[in-house]
Amino acid sequence: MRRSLYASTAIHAAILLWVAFGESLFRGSPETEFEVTGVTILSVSEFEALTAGVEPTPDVLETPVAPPQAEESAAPDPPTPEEAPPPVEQPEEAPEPAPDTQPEPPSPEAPQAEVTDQIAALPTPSGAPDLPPSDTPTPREAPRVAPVPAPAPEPEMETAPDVLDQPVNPDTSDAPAEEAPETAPEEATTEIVTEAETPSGGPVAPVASLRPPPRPARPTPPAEPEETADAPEPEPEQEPEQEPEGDPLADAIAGAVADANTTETTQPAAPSGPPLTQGARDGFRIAVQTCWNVGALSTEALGTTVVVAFEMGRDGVPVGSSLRLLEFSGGSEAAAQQAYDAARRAIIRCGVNGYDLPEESYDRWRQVELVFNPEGMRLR
Amino acid sequence: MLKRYLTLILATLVVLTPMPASAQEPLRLEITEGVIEPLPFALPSFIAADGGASDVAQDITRVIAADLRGTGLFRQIPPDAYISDVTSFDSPVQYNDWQAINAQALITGEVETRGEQIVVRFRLFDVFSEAQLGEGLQFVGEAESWRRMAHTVADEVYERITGETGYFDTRVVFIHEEGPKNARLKRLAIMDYDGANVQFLTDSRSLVLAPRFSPQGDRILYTSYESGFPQVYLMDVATVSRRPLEEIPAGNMTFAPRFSPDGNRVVFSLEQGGNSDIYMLDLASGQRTQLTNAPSIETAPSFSPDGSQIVFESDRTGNQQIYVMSASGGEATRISRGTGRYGTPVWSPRGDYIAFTKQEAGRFHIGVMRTDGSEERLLTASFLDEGPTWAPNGRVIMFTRETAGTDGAPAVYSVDLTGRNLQRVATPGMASDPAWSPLQ
Repeated sequence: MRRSLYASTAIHAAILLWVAFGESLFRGSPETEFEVTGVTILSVSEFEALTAGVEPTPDVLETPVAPPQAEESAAPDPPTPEEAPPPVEQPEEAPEPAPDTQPEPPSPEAPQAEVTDQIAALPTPSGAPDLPPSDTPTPREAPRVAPVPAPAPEPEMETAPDVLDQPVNPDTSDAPAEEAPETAPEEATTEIVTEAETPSGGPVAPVASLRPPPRPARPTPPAEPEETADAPEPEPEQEPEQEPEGDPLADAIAGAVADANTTETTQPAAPSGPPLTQGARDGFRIAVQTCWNVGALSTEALGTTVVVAFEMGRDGVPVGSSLRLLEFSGGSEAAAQQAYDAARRAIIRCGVNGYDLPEESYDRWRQVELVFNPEGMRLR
Repeated sequence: MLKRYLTLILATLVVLTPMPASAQEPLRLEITEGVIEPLPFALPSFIAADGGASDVAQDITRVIAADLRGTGLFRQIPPDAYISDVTSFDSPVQYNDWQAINAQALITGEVETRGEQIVVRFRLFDVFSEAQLGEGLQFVGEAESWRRMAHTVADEVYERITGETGYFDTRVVFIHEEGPKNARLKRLAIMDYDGANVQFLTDSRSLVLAPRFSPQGDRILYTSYESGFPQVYLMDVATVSRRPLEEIPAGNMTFAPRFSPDGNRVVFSLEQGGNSDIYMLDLASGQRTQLTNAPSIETAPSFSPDGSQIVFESDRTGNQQIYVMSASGGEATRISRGTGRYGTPVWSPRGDYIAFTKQEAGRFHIGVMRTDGSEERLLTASFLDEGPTWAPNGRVIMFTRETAGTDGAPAVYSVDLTGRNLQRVATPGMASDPAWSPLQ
């Protein structure tokens, strides 16, 4: 998912940029053309820059996407360093150049900083012995990349718990990273499996509620990564640190990407427990329809379909203030109001003691839209 | 500069790029089956603001309850089941207490006397939504008109819950009948829709038939044998004065009159030489216009609410059927398609249906159909049902039902447009040919 997202983002950006500025850039004036060539050259300069030192912040953000995929291979890590160097021009070429450059320039310096940090966390849980063997086959990059991917699987498991902790203390990025290692292994399994949520019905909700915190506390993500998805986050953070001078706009992009990442990571975690069974749906529907009394409705209201949206508490009781007429069809506004009143009475009356819905799936029925279609009840 | 633009646009794109995993979507279900049952309401006795209002407060409460119950759409929860006791009109509603007895609507009120007048206040609450339905209202009127004030309150409650205008503050003109079947005496009478305040408008010396209210409810058309032949008369309700609709040659007959929606014209049947056709009379000018011209019997005309069309019955095909034509006459279109005979069509005040009498297989029915003849539905079935008349809200139909045998007697019944809530209307005796007035 993430890869596709980044790829889509980069491609869209490139296209839009081309449309917006391509004409001016490549208008034919020597300057624009020069820039184009510069772009090509830049990739080369990037390599050189890598040798000298790495700066780019924005690119790093994108690179993370690759790592997760290539965790098993060596590809992921290289992109980060390479793209990092060319901060300005990368936007357009970012997607293409990155892959090309990755294999070739396994620059030691840039990668070292990032990779080493990640590895540092990983080694603790699993072990360093794996690194040497895996790296051996691969050329230059092997030594750097290999270590990362190998440990990755385990750390991911560990990092998962970290993410959970982060929301609680988003500001302290370092602390969680350290503590995580120990607790990580145990909790990691539960999180990945999602079974963790099942045992204690409560956990599900917390996960969802925790989503917001992570966003503001972007810095925390560096703490690290649980699964492949998290891998990208840590890198962006590391780079910013290395490049304090970073461009504010680049930081903004980094922030945006971090947000996107966090939302993605949280969304999958947010899933709200097992889906509702057909039996549960039918039970809910029947419970409402037993209170849906259309006997006092006008003939016009009987021809009006209304959609009522509302929210329910974890106890299955509709939140009265959340009830609202979402849409209607087949009648006048006045008729829709009458139909809505009847529907609202039905929802509230039969839900006064709470609808019988599985609590572990709360997120799946917290928001409800009921379509009250009286067509079959008309003039019976 | 360019760099800044690029980075800014890129940032925007990143932020706006739709996430593959969308936010949790709401659970969406469709409900197509509900229940059809009277809506339970609680109606604590209206509070008497002073000692003099005690009795009238009780009476008003009783009439409101009867109005709502009579519709078949509401069910009153017995006062004995009430947990809360409303002691003050302005005291907050204890919703929990009313929810506990499953009251879905709560009506509270107060009555105050001011000399010869009384003041009636009421509020309506949606119990489970814990909110007031509409604004509280206050009516001031003569003490002797307390029934009308009660009906008005009931109309407001009915409208706020059902979305349709009420029909409680209305009257019904009908034919009061006395005596054995072979020597029946008939009088024109008028009463409140619920059978109260009966007044006789004619004596029993002349046979009277088929009264019809004017759109304003201030005049009545009816057919009387006062002259020896059936003839249409126009009566002023306030003064009970009457006159023939128009002078016609002896031997001719006029019958089946009905007002136009604006009350300025009357359509009726005129029988001449054994043939009856439909005519229209302009009340202001006295000009009469023939609308049909056929050797068959054309009668029972009724205007559409917009006055542009007239529905009537005719046996021009050899069998009594229902036709629709322009209000100015011309070619008519048959709309009844079923087997049996159709008659006495009446256009609904809302314009959506036409009620009729149907005779088939030895039984009579009151039914409704769309104005194009589609969606025919029979609402009743008995030995003899006939002469439907619409409530002003187009939701209820009143008609005559007569029992079989030598002891058979006519009575007035009402039925909901849905075919439910068939019930007999209270009348002082035998009654037939009801006609519903507009809201007063």
